[in-house]
This record gives sequence, C-alpha cells and structure tokens, in this order.
Amino acid sequence: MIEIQNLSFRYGKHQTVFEQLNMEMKAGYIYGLLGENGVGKTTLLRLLAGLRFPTEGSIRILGQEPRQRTASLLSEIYYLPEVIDPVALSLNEYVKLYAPFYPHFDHGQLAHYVSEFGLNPAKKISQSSHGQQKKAMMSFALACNTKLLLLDEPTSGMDIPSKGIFRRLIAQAATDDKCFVISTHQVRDLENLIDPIVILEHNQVLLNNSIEEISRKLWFGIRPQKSDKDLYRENALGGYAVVGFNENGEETRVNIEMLFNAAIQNKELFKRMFIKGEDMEPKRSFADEMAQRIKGDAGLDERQQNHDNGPRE
Amino acid sequence: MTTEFSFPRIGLLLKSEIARNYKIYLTLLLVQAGIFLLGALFGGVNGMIGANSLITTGNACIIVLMPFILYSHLFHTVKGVNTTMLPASQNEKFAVSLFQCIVLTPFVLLFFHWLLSTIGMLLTGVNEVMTQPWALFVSRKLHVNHGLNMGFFDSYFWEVISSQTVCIWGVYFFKTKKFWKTVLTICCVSIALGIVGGIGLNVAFDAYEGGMYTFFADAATRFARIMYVFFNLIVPVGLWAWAYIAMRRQQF
Repeated sequence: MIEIQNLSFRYGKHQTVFEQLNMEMKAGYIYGLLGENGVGKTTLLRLLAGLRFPTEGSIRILGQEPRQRTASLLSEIYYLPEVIDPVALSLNEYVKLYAPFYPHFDHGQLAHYVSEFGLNPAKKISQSSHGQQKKAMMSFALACNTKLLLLDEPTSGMDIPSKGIFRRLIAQAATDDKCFVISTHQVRDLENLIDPIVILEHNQVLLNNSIEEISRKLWFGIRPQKSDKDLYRENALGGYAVVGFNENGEETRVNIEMLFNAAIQNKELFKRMFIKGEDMEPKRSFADEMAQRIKGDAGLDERQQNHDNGPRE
Repeated sequence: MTTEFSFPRIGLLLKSEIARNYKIYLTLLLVQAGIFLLGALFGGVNGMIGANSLITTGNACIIVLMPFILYSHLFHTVKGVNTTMLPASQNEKFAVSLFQCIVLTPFVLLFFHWLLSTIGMLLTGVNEVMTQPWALFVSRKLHVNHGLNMGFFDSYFWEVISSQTVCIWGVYFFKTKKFWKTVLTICCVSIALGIVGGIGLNVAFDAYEGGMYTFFADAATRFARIMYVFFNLIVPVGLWAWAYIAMRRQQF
C-alpha cells in the first residue's frame, strides 16, 4: 500500500524532520503512529497525503506518488487533520456536496455512523462543539471507504463514550484492502485497536512492528523489585510496572504507553532490536549485553529522573 | 477517475467552493452596498462625491478584501486542505479558482453595483434610465456623468483581475510569512499596483474621451496604452501563470 524509500524532509534548509527514512505499510492493518511532540507525525501524514513534498527520496501509495495529486489517487485517500475546517454547512449538506467525489461512498454506512455517534446531521457543523465536529467528519471519512485513511489525533476533543464508539467503528470499517494510519498521543484511547505500532523519533523510526512481534521480544508486567534489566519502569500497586526483555517467551499484554516510554528511553536499543533486526531471540546473553549497555554510564535511574515515579532509595 | 479534466467534476468543485464561501460573497456585497449608501447619504450620486469615486472606493474594497477570500478558499493551512484533498486534478481546481476569482466575483459585484446605481439614478430622477435603459450599457456620456454604465466594465474588470492576481501571487510568494504579515504585504502590493494601474487607466480614459486636449495629450495617450497593456494583459496573464505553477507545488 505505502512504500517510503530514503525519505528526507526538511522545513527550510536546516530543520530536518526525516533523514533517509524507509518504511512500508500494508493493507489490512491499522497503524498507530506514535512519537513525541515535534518528531514529525503530522508531517509524515501530510507527506502521505501529498500536502507536503519530500525533499529527497520517494513515497508511493498504490503505485502512485501522492505529490502528483492525481484525481484517481486522491479518491483513494482521505486525510482527516487534527484541526478541521468548521464549514458553515450541515452534515447533510456537506455530504451532498462532497460525497460525489468519492466513488465508494456509502450513504448507508454514513447513516449508521451518524446514529452510533448520536449526531444531528441537520445541524450546522460550524455550530457544533469541537468533539461533534470531529465525529461528523469522522463519520464522513469512514463512509468514503477510501483505501487509505489518515487520521491525525482523531480522539482529541471526543468524550469518553465517543472514544469507545470510535474504536468500534474503526474496527468495523477495517477490511483487508484498507490501510488506516492513526497518529495520536492518546495511546490509551487506541489500545486494542492499533496494530502494528510505529514509533517515530527525530529523523528516524524506532519501531514499526506488530503487537505480536513486540510481545515476543518484550515483557510487560508487575515486578515487586527493581531490576537492572528493566527497560522502563514506573510505580504501580504491588511494585513496579515494568517493560523488560521477554527472556522466557512469556506472552504478555503490550501496554502501549509503557512501550512508548521504553522506546524513548532506549532509542538505540529499540532500533537494534526492531529496525535492524538484531538477534531477536530472547537469549540470555543478548539480554545481559543489553542490560549492561543500559546500566552503563547513564543508567536507567538517571535517565528516568524526569519520568520515574519509583520510590527513592 | 483518471481524467485530468472533467466538466461534471468542475461543476461539483465549483458548487462546493461557492457553498463554502458564500458568506464571503455576501460580505462583499454588503460592504459595497454600505459604501454606496454612504456615498448617497453624502450626496454622492449627483453631487459632491462622483459615482466614479464610489466605484473607485468599491474597487479599493475589493482589492483589500480579495486576499481574505483567496487566502481562505485555497491557501489557508487548515481550510486549504479540504480543497487540496478533494479528488480532482490540479487543473480542475485551478480552473475553478480562476473562474471563482476573476469571473464570478467581479460579475456578482459589478451586477450588484449596477443595480444599486440604477436605483440611485432612478431615485435622483435621471430621465435616461426610464426612457432609455439600454443607455446604461452603451453611453459614454452617462458614464462621465454618473459612472454607471457598462462601458466602464472593461477597465473595472481588468483592474479587479490584476489585483486578484497580485493577491494570489502574493499568497504564494509570501506563504512562509505569518498570516497578518502576508495579508498586509499583499494589500500594500495590490493597492500600490492598483493606484498605478488606475492612474494609467484614468489617463487613457480621459485621452480617449477627448477630455484632455492638452499639450501632452499624445504622450499621455501613449503612456496610457503602455500602462493598459502592461497592467491589463502582461501582469494578469503572467501572474496567473505563475500562480498555476505555484499551485502545483503548493504545500501546507
């Protein structure tokens, strides 16, 4: 579906966002795009949508370059930005005007989404709250049935019940020929939905793997004691919630928020493990070596001083 | 969905753009009506302020307001995304933008102005309007006296095109600047060029009308012709071409 090869992107001459980025995204998956503020999540979505152009390298979606903005490719892409234009039209009017552009638009599906979100399609979008606007545009985006759906912070502004509905609708809409890319900071809103997970770091990708691959390599759980091998830990009831190496091949539930924090604190390690594909087996020697590396001069405790809520010794 | 140019799709695009921007059109009309009424209140129709001044003021308003229209309907970092992501080719989008900016807007404003002026003339008892309504479209005399006929259309139309072209070019050129800085720059450039163009057109008009039988009449006519060609042909066509190239590379 999406092939990114040697992508470099800069704002102006000096502000580099991506450098030689390579990535592939396949149909049939809901990709979660995570990263700290300013690493380029929105920029990547805009590059995919053809709203920005690569400085170097190429992006191909369904065999076409998005920067060409051909009508045929645009009819297969829907980009829902974080900040939407609150048009002075009702959803009904909006659909009447814009649905004819999308050949796979399904009015039945739209009615279903509108009903699920509890929207009033006769109400002007500009007069609705931010959350209602998001839900209206989300309904339209899903009903377009495009092969690529790019969502930038889709749950921001949504109330708690709506987030659940959103997850359900996205899961229903996902089919084998569609690819959804969701950029978010609200990882808990999308837990159990996004798979694979892509974590962006300045200029590079730290991780682009399925939940299954991640849980095969990493262990998530509660430990009563700290360990030098912990990749990341935080205070929890009964001890410490920990991300560590999966030394015993135990299958644990991936906590995306902790995974993200672990990745941010162990960038080189994650790149080695997940991007370069080094020794993926949870061998003791590998784990020991990594633990030693982590311990090093700037150990976990030191690196976590701004994040760690653990008890001080 | 593979063609570069489809008239049904252009129709859809135009419809959606007008639906999205109708408030701006209404605002423009209201502004023009306000200016006209103010002029009329101060004796503008047949007294102290000539109708030509009213038209010039109207033009100035359009020149100032146009950047807002263009900025919002095509190049805005949030609003522009809607248009850019619509499944239509760049050629179709540019055609719609062109039509909306240089045909639809001036025509709507011109018609509205003509309507207001005619009402104004009727109210002030100009006989020609009642006895020879077609004179509004052809008579130079009426124009000189009241500035209402369609003979003025030519210069009016091209002035508007020039100013809008400058605006669209300005938005592309200065798109890296902040919003207000961008708008201010565009306004300054537009007004400056509008004034220079207006001087040229007025000189041309006076010369053609024979109202300027002076020692410098020939030179003024030559100058006017050069200005006319430059501002009414080279500038708009050149800048619209530039805008088209820029649009293909427009980034948000």
